[in-house]
Amino acid sequence: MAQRTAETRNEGPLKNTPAMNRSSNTTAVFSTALALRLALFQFPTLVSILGGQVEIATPITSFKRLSEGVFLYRNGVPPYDGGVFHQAPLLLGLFYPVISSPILVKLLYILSDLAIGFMLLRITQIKDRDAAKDERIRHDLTPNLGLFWYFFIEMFDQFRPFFIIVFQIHVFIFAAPISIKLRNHPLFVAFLLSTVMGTFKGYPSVGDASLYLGLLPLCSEIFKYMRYSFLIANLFMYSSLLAPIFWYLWVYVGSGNANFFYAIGLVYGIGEIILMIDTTYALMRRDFEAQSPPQPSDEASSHGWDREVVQK
Amino acid sequence: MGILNRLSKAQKRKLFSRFVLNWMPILSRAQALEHEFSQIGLKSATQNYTLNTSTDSKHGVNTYAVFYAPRSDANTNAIAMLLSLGKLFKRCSHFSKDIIFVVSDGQAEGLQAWLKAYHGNEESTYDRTEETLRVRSGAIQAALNLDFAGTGDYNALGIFFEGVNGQLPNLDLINTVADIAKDVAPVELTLHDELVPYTDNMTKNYINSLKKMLYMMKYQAVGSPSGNHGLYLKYKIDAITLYGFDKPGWPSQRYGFQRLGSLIESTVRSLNNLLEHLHQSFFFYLLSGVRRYTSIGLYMPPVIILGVSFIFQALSLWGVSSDLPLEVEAISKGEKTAVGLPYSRRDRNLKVPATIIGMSFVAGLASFQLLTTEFGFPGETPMLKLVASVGVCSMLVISAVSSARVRNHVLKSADKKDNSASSGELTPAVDWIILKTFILALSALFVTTLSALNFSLAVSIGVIIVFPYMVFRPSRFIGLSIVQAIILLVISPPGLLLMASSFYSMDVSMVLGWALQEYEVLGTWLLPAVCGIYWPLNLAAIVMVLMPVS
Repeated sequence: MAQRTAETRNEGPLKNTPAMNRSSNTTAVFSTALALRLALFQFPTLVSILGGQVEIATPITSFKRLSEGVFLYRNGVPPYDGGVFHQAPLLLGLFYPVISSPILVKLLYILSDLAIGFMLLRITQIKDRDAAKDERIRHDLTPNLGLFWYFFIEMFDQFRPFFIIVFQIHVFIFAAPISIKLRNHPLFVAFLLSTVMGTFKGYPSVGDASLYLGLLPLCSEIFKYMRYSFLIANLFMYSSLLAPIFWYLWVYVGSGNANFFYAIGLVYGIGEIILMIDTTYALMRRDFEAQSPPQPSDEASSHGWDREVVQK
Repeated sequence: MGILNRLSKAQKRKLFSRFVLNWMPILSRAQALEHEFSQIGLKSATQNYTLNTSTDSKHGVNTYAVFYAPRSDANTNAIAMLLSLGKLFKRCSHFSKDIIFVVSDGQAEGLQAWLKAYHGNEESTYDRTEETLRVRSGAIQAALNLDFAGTGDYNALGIFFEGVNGQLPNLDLINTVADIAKDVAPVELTLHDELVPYTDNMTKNYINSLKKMLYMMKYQAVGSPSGNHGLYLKYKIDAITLYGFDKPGWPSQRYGFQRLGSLIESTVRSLNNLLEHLHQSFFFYLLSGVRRYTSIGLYMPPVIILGVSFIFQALSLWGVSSDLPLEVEAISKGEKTAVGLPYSRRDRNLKVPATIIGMSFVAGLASFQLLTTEFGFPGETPMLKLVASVGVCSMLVISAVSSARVRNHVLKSADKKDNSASSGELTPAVDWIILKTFILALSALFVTTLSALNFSLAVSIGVIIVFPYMVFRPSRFIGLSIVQAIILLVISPPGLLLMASSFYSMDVSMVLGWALQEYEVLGTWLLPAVCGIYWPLNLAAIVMVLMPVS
């Protein structure tokens, strides 16, 4: 949704604090989060720089386009006609009354961030299930960190509808097998599906990454089974540094071209896919160890199993 | 100017340009030029600008004239040439593009003010004032910057092409000039201002080419343009400087006004024939001669290998910090456990190294802020600010090292106490291993990503840090650790600054002032890159070698 959300959503509320300090710690974390957001809003240049980054603002998340849609709507022009505004009608309705006052908009963003943080906290406490999905097919060729835009600029027009369907199927086709296979781990399914969506949707942004990275710590028990965490961290770092650089070379300097930027989109995609594979592996491995503990007589071979899990 | 009437036209222009350049005050100089341009029949105008940096204040007036199409751009200091060309072009009907003549004031800042205003980015703050341009034309396709000192003849023509932050013009622009200088208007063409004779000795030829290439890489690495053409590149305009010079004793044919004019006219006509920007050629190259280039496919692999060497060691250290050593030990003892052992059972303690890395970056950015902010207290010099930032950084190193050592001490004594109780718990890997992993991973990240932007800077940083960062580690002998720390200090930014100033036998404050000036006037990345990337990693490395071994 917002660039602001992307930066800091996954920082605070996910820490597992001991029961005694929990409430005071929570207050501290939430007030720090609030203060941080208020402080960040004091740098208007930061907001405009981040709002202009293609990794953050896509056609379906851009605040600029939202403002334009509201403006059109307010002036009696149908906002969806011009091919500029592609966002959900509900967002239009939500921002219609508040967009004229910058303070109310900031407050809305801050409150929604805090609400998300609070909900994540509640989830960690009760570890209950909750997942929601809502996607729509769009048709706009603005480049982004996704995997598909490049195909569409290379493709003949008559094939577009077919390939839009083929690519968009990826977003939800994994829902059924994942939900069946991992039915005992609803939280992990929520994480995995939002990663799948963040990877394969037409217009991904770092906002999607912040969603699944925010959900990932809910399953923190699988971290020690992950094999490629270093690789994944590196891939994410490389793509987040190189994406703006190649965008700069392509759009501003003119010495690069679209292939440069798309290549980084691919690296980012590989990072996300390895993250999915590795976390799924880690979860299954943990399950396996819990279900088939080593023979008690064979001391040597039990050395490798995680004691805590085996004892359960 | 009555006396001038008796002289020939060419002589008159030469005299005029000398007069204008040397003796007239800035404003009347600009007005005189504007007058001359309008005499020829070109639409001309002037532009005032002011630029206040933390050390200096600059003011000047640019003059420019637009030759409207029957449509290109040329910027020049060789005013006589410019006026003659203006007159010539006025008579030509085959131009399909506008030609702009710019006579910029001062050094790079004058042209920068003009370019900003031309692209509608003029500012009017206390620090920068750029007047809005009254006369304009379309998007500029290419630019030629003429640098011809004096009024005599020359026997060589040098091409300067390195732009701000190591940006380069399309290679075809250089090729065009090289072709024209071969056939249409034969002149001796070379890169920069040095002529090296071709010898029979192949080794010597290779070394001469290498010297040329290193000369180019030096300009690229520091990111300052080798001429005024460098500023155009920021605006997606291919540009080079043509520099006329006289090398005594060089056997080439001398050339004067006439041939130079036909060279420039041919170049402008070649550009005029283009339908769009030059783009189907090279933007990434290293030149070791006018007709000899190294493409990105050849020069990129070394820097990738540099990056990969960092990544490989980082990976191996990451492995060491996990269960890998235990696994190897188990195998050597003949136990069967190695097969079933999942990864990463041993906790990695990331808090300490992450804090150190984070603090180093804060210290680096703080130094950058210190250096670039004007506080306004008396006796404030860049040197004093540098000393203050060195103070900030050394404070970080001292506090990080001492707290790491104290922590180690506390942990050890706690360990001794419950030595009997702890049987199954695995001790996590030592902090320095993880810290070194971080340093190496970040070095790889920065060297490789920077190489996409400025290859020469990336490769020079890579070459400096590759050996120390790979080999150095804390030692049991405190003396060895200190020797390593001293070597790291030598390659730290202040150390490099001292070395550079003694190498060029310049004052340290002058070198520092120059770097600041380049950042403030032209927006080069050398200072931000050094303070924001290079220095933090260097600080973290110093902390790393001084950390406790176990």
